[in-house]
Amino acid sequence: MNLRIFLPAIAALAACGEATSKPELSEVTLSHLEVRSGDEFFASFAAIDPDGDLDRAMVSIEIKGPEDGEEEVELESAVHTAEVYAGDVEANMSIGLRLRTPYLGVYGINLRVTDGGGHESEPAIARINVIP
Amino acid sequence: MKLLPLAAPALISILAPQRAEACGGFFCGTQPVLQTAERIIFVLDEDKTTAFIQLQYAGNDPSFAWIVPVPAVPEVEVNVGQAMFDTLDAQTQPIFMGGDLSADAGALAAQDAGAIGCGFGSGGVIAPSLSARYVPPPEVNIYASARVGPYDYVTLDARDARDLNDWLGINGYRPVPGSEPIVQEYLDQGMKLLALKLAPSADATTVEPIKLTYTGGEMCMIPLKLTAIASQPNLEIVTWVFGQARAVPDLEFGEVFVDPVEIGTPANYLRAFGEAVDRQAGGRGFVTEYANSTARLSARGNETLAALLENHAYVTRLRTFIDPFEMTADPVFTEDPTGVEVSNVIVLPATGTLSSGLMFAVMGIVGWMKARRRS
Repeated sequence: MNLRIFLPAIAALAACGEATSKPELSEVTLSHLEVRSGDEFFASFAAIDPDGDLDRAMVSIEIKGPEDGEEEVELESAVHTAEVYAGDVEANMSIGLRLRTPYLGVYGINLRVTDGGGHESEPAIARINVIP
Repeated sequence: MKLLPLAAPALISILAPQRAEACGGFFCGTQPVLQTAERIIFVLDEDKTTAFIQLQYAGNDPSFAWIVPVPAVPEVEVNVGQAMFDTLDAQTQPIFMGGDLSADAGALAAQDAGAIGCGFGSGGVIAPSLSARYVPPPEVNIYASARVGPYDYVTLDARDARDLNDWLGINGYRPVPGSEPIVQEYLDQGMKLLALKLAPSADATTVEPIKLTYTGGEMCMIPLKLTAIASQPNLEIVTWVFGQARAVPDLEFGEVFVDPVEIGTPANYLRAFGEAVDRQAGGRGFVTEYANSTARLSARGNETLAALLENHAYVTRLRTFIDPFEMTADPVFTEDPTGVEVSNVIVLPATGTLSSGLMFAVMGIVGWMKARRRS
């Protein structure tokens, strides 16, 4: 066996396994594009995890904005989706969000899913406009 | 002089009353989208029931949800036209004769009420905050889902009102927190919910009347309990019922009579109206302002109204003003074949005229005195 070929192959395989263990998120669909402060709205998306360890998944949400405002608000929240998706490779999720803020304008929403193995997805991004 | 007396509410129809059912609560989010008035036309036929529903509202919430409990999956139509309501209203609204008609007839318009929010008023600067909750896939049954005119609508039910409200929220409707107990009541009764919202591209400043048609005979009901959540004080409800006989309110809501003597002048009509409803029915009653043969009315070129007049022998106009705290029951209307006609012409006593009771007393005394002189 040619070790010089084998070791890079192993490294390549390890790198591939590392890359595919992160959940992947679909585009986020918001129930409403405009809300008033305190209104609940919903972010829906699909999470795909080839490892099948979406059990004890954690959804983290970061909201920042308003994008053209003088005052910046940065808020984080997290919600467990435990037990529901044990063993699932793909799951559709909906998160109810309620943003209370005195600052009107467009806020960016970043959603991330961390699977049971601690692998965090890239953020799925949406925008919500807070109106009077 | 009083009007012809209304049929005694205690009379029970010997015929099985026709029943028909639909109408609307009006939800909003935290925005004060106010329901200012409601006009509904019920049409009772042997094999089907139809409701034409017109809401007048104030506010500009582009994503309000209109939730209607329904006994079955209805056919939903729009483009029924505002004109039918106006034409019917013009011919059946109260007309005053006698008395002091110089009083401001503008007072006949519904009273303005102070703006009221949907119970979510706020004052001062709030600290930004974010709350999130995972929503398990709601378990609902979808029976119909389509777009009609400017509306997207869905007919659905669920075992749990929380699931139903979550499904509506996820799909772009906007149920109001606090509505779940009332929605649960309707679900427990086996009813479905029809939810409508303005489609994203629709003009948010207009709410077109809708027409709901059910097969079979059902109960004529207005779901006021839902309406209470987003209604301003003193909500005006005008209902017309087309059928074969006069319609009367059922047990939970009384039939109210407004004495022309109490009215005095046209400008005082609504005050006397409100006082009569409170005094005679504890705030939950309807005044029959018109009940007569449809042959007396004209469609005035409105085709939909022409068909109603041609195919139904009788029409009844019932009206009330009701506050949200009084909306603890849903009024039901049934046909009473023994009910008598009610004219919309209200003859007011001439200014300075004694009340009829006192007048008879005076006439009695005068008669007695004459008899004494003769003897």
